[in-house]
Amino acid sequence: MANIIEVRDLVKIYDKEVHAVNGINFDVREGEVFGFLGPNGAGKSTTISMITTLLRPTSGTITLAGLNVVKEATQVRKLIGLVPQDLTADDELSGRENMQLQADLYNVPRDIEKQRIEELLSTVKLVDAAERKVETYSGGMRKRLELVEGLIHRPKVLFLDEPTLGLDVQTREIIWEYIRKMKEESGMTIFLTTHYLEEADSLCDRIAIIDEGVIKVIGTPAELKASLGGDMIKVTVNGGEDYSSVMSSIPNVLDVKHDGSEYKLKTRDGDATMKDVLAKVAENGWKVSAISLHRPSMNQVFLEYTGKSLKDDLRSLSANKAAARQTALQNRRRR
Amino acid sequence: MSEIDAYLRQTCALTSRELKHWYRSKTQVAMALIMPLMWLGLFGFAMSGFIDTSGLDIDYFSYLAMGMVIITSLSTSMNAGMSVIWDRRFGFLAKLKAAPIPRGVIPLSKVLATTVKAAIQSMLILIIGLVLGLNLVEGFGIVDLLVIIVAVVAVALTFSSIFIALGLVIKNQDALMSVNMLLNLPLMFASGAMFPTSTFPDWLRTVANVNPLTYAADAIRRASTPLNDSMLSVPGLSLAEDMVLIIVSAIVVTAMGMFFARRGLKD
Ligand SMILES: Nc1ncnc2c1ncn2[C@@H]1O[C@H](COP(=O)(O)OP(=O)(O)OP(=O)(O)O)[C@@H](O)[C@H]1O
Ligand SMILES: [Mg+2]
Repeated sequence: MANIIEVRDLVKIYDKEVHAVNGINFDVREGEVFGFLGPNGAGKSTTISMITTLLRPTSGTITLAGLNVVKEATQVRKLIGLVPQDLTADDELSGRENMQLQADLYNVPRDIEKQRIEELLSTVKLVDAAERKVETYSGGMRKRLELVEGLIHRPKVLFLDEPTLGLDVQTREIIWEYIRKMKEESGMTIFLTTHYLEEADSLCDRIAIIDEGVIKVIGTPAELKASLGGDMIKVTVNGGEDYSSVMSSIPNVLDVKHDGSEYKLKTRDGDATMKDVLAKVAENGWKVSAISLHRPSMNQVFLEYTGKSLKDDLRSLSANKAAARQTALQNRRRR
Repeated sequence: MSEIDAYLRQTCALTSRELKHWYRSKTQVAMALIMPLMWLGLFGFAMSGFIDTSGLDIDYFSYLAMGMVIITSLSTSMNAGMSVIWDRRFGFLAKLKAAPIPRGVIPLSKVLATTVKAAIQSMLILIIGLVLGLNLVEGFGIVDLLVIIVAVVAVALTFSSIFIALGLVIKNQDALMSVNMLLNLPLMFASGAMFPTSTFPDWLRTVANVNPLTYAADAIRRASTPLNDSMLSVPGLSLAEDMVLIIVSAIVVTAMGMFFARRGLKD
């Protein structure tokens, strides 16, 4: 697959002292879902702003669809869609008016705009609220509107900065289903950041983990998890004998620990080993009272590469949210 | 060609967004009218006894009302800078910047919307003035009305370009507010809009003579009120000369405003 985005030695220093992005390199392949994970303040939004032409890099180059993002910004803007982390819809306009404005700004052909607006609004269940001013929307409704605004012109590359933050489970499912469908139909590439690690695990073809402006690791979710030492099978075999040596002889098994009748097998391939263990059980007539397969979670991967527990991160996230709510309140008062 | 169509479509969409904000917010329209009406009430009626109008061929109320038509256009334009600051604060500007919109379209659509608002609000002041007893020259006709509209539009173009560019360059709400306060009174008083500049000290008259408002006020008074030429701020000019001056300065200042606005849009 060809690369649609190539980032080389990218650096962003704010105000001569804040090193937000510290020389990162990565490629995004055409048609993939690329996840950008990292704790708060890691430099995710900053990187998105630079790729989407909003911010000039301090140094380094970004190429998107063969275009230099700084020098050929106008061409690049035609190919991309951006759903920013903040809510940016015009809250004095209705939902439908916001969509229409977006269609006009991206010059969506007149003959299909009505139908597309309708389709997108109904995807995120905003048809009933479409004529209401956005200022009367709930947080989740705004986020949904924001999302479909970014889809109106069917961009070649879609940037989603924390697209599902604050959405309920059903809405998240609906949105991901729609985006998967669009990706399949039109070959759209998706670049997303999220703090929902399970979501990233199930959605992304590849993931990069960034911390303090540096990319720690890039790979498929399976590769990342495998890098932590693979899967583990726990099996409890009743009976006095020590079966460790039998277990060790199973292909792919890297290590066997046992504690009483419970055995822990580290393996390169959980599924294959599970099959082999079950075969041994049948062959030797062992009495098994419990067996389970454990895969490393994205949470563990995240923890391993950022040295931060997700709990810490969520704590600072809620601190961030409190600050954001504060600003939102101030803004409201002012308006 | 299709590029140009796209730019027109973007300009229309952004201009109509601004206008929707305006006509949906009753307070915005009300505030824009209350200020000039207060001036009219305060100076036009209450204080007319203190102001020497013996040299004027008309009553001071009529003189001031025409000035207020121009001042309304000025204050509408000055407020446009603030809306740029809000757009930046709410992330709306970033959304525009990520879209394939020529940078100039962003300030230009704000200038256009402001000009429409200014024209309508100034006409409302003219109508209210007429209701309250503003005397127009005998034989006032459609051409004279057009002169007033063109003058109001030229003032709006000139000053909205300046203040929109300031809003984009300054970026900070408090700083822009201070600049607005600093410029508001000098622009208003160092012009022939409120008082005949013949009553000014020399230095102030010199300042007034470089203020486009002075020529705009002269132009609409030549068109609308029975006024002795010597009572105009810059006597001796013809109506046509006044008009050329304000139109040319509108074009030059708007072009400069767009240039600085585009620089303010970088990063
Ligand atoms: N305009 C700015 N001026 C100065 N510093 C900034 C600016 N924007 C971001 N930063 C700093 O750059 C760093 C990276 O910020 P960024 O917004 O890219 O983080 P992020 O990974 O998106 O975090 P989050 O998960 O909280 O959204 C942070 O330390 C932040 O304080
Ligand atoms: Mg961010």
